Amino acid sequence: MSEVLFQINHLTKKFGGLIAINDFSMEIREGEILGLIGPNGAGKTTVFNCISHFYKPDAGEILMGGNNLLQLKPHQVAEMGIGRTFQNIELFGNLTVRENLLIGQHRLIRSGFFSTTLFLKRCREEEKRVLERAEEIGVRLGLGGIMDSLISGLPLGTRKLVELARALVLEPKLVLLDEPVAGMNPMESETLARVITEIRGRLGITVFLIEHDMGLVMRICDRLYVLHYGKKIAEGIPAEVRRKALVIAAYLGQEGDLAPQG
Amino acid sequence: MRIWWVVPMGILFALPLFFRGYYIYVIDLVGIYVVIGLGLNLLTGYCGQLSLGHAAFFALGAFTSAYLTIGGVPFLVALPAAGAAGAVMAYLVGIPVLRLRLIFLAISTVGLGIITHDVLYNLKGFTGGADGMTVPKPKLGPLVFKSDESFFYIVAVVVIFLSFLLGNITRTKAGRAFLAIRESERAATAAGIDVPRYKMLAFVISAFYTGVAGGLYAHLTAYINVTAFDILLSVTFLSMIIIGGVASIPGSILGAIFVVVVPEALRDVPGAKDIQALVYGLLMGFFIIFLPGGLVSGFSRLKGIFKK
Repeated sequence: MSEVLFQINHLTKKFGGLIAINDFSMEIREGEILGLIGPNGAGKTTVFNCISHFYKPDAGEILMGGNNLLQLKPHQVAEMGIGRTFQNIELFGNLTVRENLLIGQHRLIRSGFFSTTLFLKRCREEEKRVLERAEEIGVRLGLGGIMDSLISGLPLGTRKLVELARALVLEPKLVLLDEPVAGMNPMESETLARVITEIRGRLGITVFLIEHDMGLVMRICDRLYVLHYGKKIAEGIPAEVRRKALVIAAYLGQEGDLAPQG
Repeated sequence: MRIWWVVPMGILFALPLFFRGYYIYVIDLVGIYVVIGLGLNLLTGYCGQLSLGHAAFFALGAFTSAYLTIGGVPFLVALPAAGAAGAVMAYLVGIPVLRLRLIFLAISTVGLGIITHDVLYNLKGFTGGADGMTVPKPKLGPLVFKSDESFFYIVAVVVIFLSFLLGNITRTKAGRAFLAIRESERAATAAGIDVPRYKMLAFVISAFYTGVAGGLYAHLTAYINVTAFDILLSVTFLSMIIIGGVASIPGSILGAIFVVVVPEALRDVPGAKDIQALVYGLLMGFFIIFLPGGLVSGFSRLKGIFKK
């Protein structure tokens, strides 16, 4: 069994009286595609936003590579090698696809302010490399033809791919994907499912995703965690979780996502 | 450096041969406003942070360079020091105000402008209060830049050098970080950009540029008066980049030409000065609604029409 890459211990997040995440613990092993599922409002995105420092948890720790992420500054989460996408897509809308993929490489650029201001040789070479990498990842995700298009003019499915590409250019060890196929048509989500498995297979990047499309989750995830009202109610391989979910649904009443499908 | 640069550079450096006296003075003034436009565009156009207090950095730069040269400091040191004075002030002010967003930042910078103006006005022993003070013409070794024609060369060199630096900043890591912050602070953070640090950097660089411009202004006019550095001046700076074109170096130049030449041309029209603030306000509204990319985008749109 491969090593543990990322760990959440006893995470709790309250919004006033509402407990969004209740004593949640999990771990991700290197090279896994891990799914976090649960009905709307279960606290899934809140987990991501705690990792990204958009919310400050009330208790718990988030560990990666021996560091407690919660003790770092928000931008250092990316420096630790975590890339992410957003449920409602947060792209740099008035910029081109290429510019988005250049910005994504921010943490990799080593030239200092002095060297970039005078555009010294070292900086020029680095800029060239960054441009090449943007092109390479863009082409890999099928964005080669639209590198100079503005984001604001692109359809939703394409934007989601751009966002994924932007998360990948920062050379992450782990990517967090918040509902990667939401709003996509079946063909687009099929493409994305393939892309996600390729990310793990060819690039060796560990994937942690939130998704409502149970078909996709069951097919591509190695393991799942199930959140319900902020509490972990099940974990394990997809088949096992599905069986447990059926039992739970029988007791709690059927809840959208957990209901048996197909 | 490619060879075709020689032609526009040649024309630029020959300008004082064709324009003299008052005309070259206006051109010098345009150059000074270009420097402000470059700096403010970095902050507002690229980084998306509004400032209505840049007259404070301009004033500080003007008095810094004036006092240093009076005290015998060489002009070559005094001018960057004027920029540094603006930068240091921006850093100190930035620590609290850059935590504010959008309109709240704009309002607190209005406060900065007003406080700076009032403090300088009341430091009569230092600034001369409403009487103002005279400033020596700059000297570089044996050269004395007494005429507005000779001063043009100083302005031209500063504008070219600072444009070059800004061009490099905007096309590399820091420039992209500024744009990212303007577009989405969350996504910028997720991409590993230290948002507070880069906001500060944009604020400090823009104040440096504005301070340098203040220094140039003091030596061009050879006389500075606090009453000129009021809120209207900050509004003029902001309208300059909105009219010219945000996040664009040519836009900064067009905007500077506009806000310097138009009021100068209307100097003899009675009442023109009184409605200046109103006109700038209306123009900003017009451009934001109908031509958000400013005059620069207007030109490219026109080109598009003729292509079809």
